[in-house]
Amino acid sequence: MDSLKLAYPVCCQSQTPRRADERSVIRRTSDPNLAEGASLFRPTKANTDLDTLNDFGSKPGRYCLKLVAGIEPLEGIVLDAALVGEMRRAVGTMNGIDFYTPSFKSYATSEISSCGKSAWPAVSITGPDCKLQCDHCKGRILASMIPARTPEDLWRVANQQIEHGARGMLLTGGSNHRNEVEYDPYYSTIRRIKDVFPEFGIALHTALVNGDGARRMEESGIDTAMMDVIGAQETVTQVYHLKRSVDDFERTLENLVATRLKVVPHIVLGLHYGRFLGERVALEILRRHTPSAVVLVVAMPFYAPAHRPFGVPDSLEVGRFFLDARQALPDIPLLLGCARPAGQAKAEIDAYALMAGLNGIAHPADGMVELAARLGRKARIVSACCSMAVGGEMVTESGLWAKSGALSIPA
Amino acid sequence: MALVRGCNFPDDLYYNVGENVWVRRESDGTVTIGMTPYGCALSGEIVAWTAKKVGRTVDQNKSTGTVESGKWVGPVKAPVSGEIIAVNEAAVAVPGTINTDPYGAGWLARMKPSDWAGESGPLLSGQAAFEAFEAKMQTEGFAGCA
Repeated sequence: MDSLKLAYPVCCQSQTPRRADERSVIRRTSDPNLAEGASLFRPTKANTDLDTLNDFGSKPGRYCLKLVAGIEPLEGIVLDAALVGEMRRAVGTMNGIDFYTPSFKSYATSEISSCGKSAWPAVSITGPDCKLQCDHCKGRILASMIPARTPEDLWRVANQQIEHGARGMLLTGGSNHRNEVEYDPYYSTIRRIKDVFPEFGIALHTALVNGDGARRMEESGIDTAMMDVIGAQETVTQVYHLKRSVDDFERTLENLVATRLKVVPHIVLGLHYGRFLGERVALEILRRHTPSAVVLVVAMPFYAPAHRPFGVPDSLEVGRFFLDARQALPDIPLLLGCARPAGQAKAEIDAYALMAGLNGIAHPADGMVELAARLGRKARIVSACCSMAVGGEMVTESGLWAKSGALSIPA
Repeated sequence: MALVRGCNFPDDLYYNVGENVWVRRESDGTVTIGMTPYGCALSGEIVAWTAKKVGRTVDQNKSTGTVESGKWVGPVKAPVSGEIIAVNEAAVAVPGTINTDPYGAGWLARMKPSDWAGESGPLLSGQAAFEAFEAKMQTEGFAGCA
């Protein structure tokens, strides 16, 4: 196998969004296939095994596993040859893949250096507080976010983050007992942020919302609305401790897609204490409402309390779901989001995501850039939230465009 | 033992200050490595330690494995080149041990250096290390270990 001709590690770059009066028109890059703000790894004859892979006849799965085995960071991971072969046959020729590096987390691997430390922070309007105390989180995911407990704090935080180079933010907060995040006092501030810094992207985690609430979110100027879709009543009741129905989640999605917002629902795989339960029902719900993109994440066992532990979702089952989702939603961007287990399970999950033809992976495991190249998938590194980048200004009918202010890095 | 902004730094260890890695030279010439309490405080609660396999050779300042917390994913860089001869499986199983006992039960890996004499020069110890950590904390605006 030829050695890869990739320069490691690489990093994306970003520039601070400008105020409205400083903004220029979004420009097309010289390469119509390359958005600014992205590093591009272009597979060449020297660094892809795709042709050999295509010639491998009836056992593409085994050949893919040989590709994986040749990548040092992926040493020891366990993939199912039959599923990998099925993915190969089902997905066929794969397009490029985007690797997202939002700065919720400082992130570096041997392939990707720390990207835009402040490019895409996460902000919580309740700090770490959450009334729901779901068994998979207990509010601890919020704890690492930047608190903005008042509208004035939100304005100050947004300005500070922009000053430090932020291109956008994830805006969320803890829920009340009805799984609603109480954004009402914040909408005018969000509107102000978007008016002053129109290039500053805001991806809002909506939680459950009615039609009026969805319209208020739209009017606030946010770019992307995100929500978790749960398909099992047992999970809603037991894990979320919530007296709401699966239908409430579907109605929320319906309310959001009725607006002009880009709507990017999430499905948390293994949400029932590490087991699959309502995921395929959730997938059916998504098929009924045509979102802008779909983010799949995988339940993390780290934060569950000892008396209600979460197992690590089975990687093979996760991979199988990736393929099912890809086939169920062939025309909708399908992304693997930030949240998933760590270590070997993460590497296995990410490898399945690449092979199943998902369009993007946030915070990819070490080795994924090389695997993408070996699979013939052109990889870009983008320092943004995956929910934001897909369905945003970067994609148009005529090709890939750029948010102004980002830089392209030659292959 | 010195306390720098509430973080312990034993006198008998070497440190790669920039990478927040400590090194202990064992009597048999091997070295044990781990994260400093400062690094642990910056990371927050560590949820995974994924080490390279025993038998792997790692160059100086290349990754011996990946540590992940709620707000950080990154490599633990080898302070000197060498072969990984042991991985702390207890820390793999219970990564929080790295936070609670970074110099003891939370050690990360043991290596057989290929050229300790030639490569250990940039590692600091004693007063030089304490001063370098204080300067780093000052630069990074670090409030202190809890």
